[in-house]
Amino acid sequence: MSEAIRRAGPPRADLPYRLFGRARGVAPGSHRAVGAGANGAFLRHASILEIPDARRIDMRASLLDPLGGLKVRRFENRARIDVFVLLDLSGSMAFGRGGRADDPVAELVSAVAHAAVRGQDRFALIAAGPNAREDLAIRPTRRRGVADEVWAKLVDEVGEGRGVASLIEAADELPQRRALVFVVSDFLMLEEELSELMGRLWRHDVAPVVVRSSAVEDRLPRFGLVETRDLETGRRRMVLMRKSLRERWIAEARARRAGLDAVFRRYGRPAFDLVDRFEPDAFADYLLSGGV
Amino acid sequence: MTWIGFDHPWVLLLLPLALLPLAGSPLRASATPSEALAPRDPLSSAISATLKTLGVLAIAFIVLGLAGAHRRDQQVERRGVGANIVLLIDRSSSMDSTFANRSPTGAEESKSAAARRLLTDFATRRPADRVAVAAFSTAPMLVSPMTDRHDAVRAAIAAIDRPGLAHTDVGRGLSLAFSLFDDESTETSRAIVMVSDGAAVIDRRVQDALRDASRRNPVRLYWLFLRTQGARGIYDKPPPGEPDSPQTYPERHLDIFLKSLGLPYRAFEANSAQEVSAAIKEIDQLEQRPTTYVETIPRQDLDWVFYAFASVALLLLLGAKLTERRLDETPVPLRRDGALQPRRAAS
Repeated sequence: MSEAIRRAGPPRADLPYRLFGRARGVAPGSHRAVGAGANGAFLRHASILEIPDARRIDMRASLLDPLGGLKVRRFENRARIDVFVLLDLSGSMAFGRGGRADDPVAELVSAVAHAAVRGQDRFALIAAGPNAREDLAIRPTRRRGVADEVWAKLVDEVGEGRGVASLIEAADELPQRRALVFVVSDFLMLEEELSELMGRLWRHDVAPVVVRSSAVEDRLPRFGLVETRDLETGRRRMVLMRKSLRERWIAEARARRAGLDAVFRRYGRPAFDLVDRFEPDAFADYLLSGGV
Repeated sequence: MTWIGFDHPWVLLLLPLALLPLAGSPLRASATPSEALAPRDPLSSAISATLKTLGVLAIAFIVLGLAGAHRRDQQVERRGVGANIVLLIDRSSSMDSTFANRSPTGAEESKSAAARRLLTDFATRRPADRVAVAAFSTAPMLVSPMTDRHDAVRAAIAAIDRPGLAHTDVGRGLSLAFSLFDDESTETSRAIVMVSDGAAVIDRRVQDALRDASRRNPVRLYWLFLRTQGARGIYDKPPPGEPDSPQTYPERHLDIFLKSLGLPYRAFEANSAQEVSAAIKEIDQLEQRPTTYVETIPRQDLDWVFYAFASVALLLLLGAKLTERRLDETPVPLRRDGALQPRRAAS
């Protein structure tokens, strides 16, 4: 890994993310916000008696009004939003990372940071595993170099420890104002924990990113003794990999993913699968389509 | 556990090492995000437990082998049908000639060779016997004490056709035979088989000693008399007029003396090897009494057994090691056009 890549990461593209629903806030930005203003996309007509704004009288609408009232055009407010990344850094996230020049998690988060700053929004990062990682936290910011900073911070941060208790706690640190929250995790947690996490994020537009690895799902060995070591608990288990067990393993992985999707749909949008590597095009596609 | 012994007991201090496999595993572990990824599998759990057990056993067996485990020699009391027999064999030089009183040739075997052959058969037929072998000629000789080791008995019997010595001292031979019964031989099953081809005068004092011994030590007495052609037999009476003295008719007078001891006594007069064989068969049938005898089972080294078990365990572990596979953590490489390169799963 050359020093330049380590510092700056791979080249980044803009991401067409959107906030579902209307943003709140007064700072101008690119997202549809609540309230009507004087600029932007047409929203509705209002009576000049309500809005005494003679510069935005719509002559055609006024003439067509059978009651003869004067109509004033109202426009959508466009506000900026805060784009949060809620990053799980428990031990299980270390799988398949560490020392990679194309660390998928760091790439994805820095891509989001880059896109947020480019899209006139603010980017913020909250990382937590079993303990809160205040050293990695980034307050909402519009600094230009934040993407590089995120990359440099995360590329060596593979995660350690057991459990996601602090991640769930960290959800309370998010602002009251509706924000777009990317929850980046492998979601290898209990269903109650997942429901708790998603429940605490009810205020926000949550886009889950499921970090997966094909090494433990599709590319399993066909036959042999495999001793697994849990990255969180360190517990070892031996399995005799064989055809029937391999099929069961893969089927269970699919079932787990389907179960996650059911929860995510209940709380908002379906998840993006970050399998093995980050592909900006696929992520952009997911953001445009809403994951459907 | 008294039956097992160790040559180097201090090596057993290494035995706690056998617990090491419980802490480790022979396989290299592959990291997984969560152990919940792998489905529950009873077979795998069984194999895992088996491998741990094999590791424990392998180390334990190696330590036991290194400690030189062996089974100690043991005394086993056995019951059998037989007797405690003293074979008292005449070693005078006349035993080396044939029944026809000639030098042995290829066709005719000597008396001692016939006795050896037939007594060897006799001892082989009776595995439950305890046998002592004594010889007498000029002086009594102890060949082998009362023993149940039949190899020793056979060797002792095999030695009786060595070239013999001059005289025949029956009396002291008999008193030696009486002294050979030890405490272990039950009283009901004691027998003396005397094999001789002649007799001699027994000294008065020796006669007294023998009477004394026969009171204290009642035995059954068999005299197998190998009669040489032309020699006087046991039952030959002197013609009238000739003096009936032990000097002239030693066989007859020995027979009379032995009868006078008051023991169960039988004399067999054999003129040929066939007759000897018949006599021995008769003794064989008469001496069938329950006996207890102690058999000593020699020490047996067990280290090779432990090494064999350890090898089996190690081979199985090696097999497990050879089938070890790991999860392939490295990401799938990109093809040049950017698409994912489908790669065969490591198998």
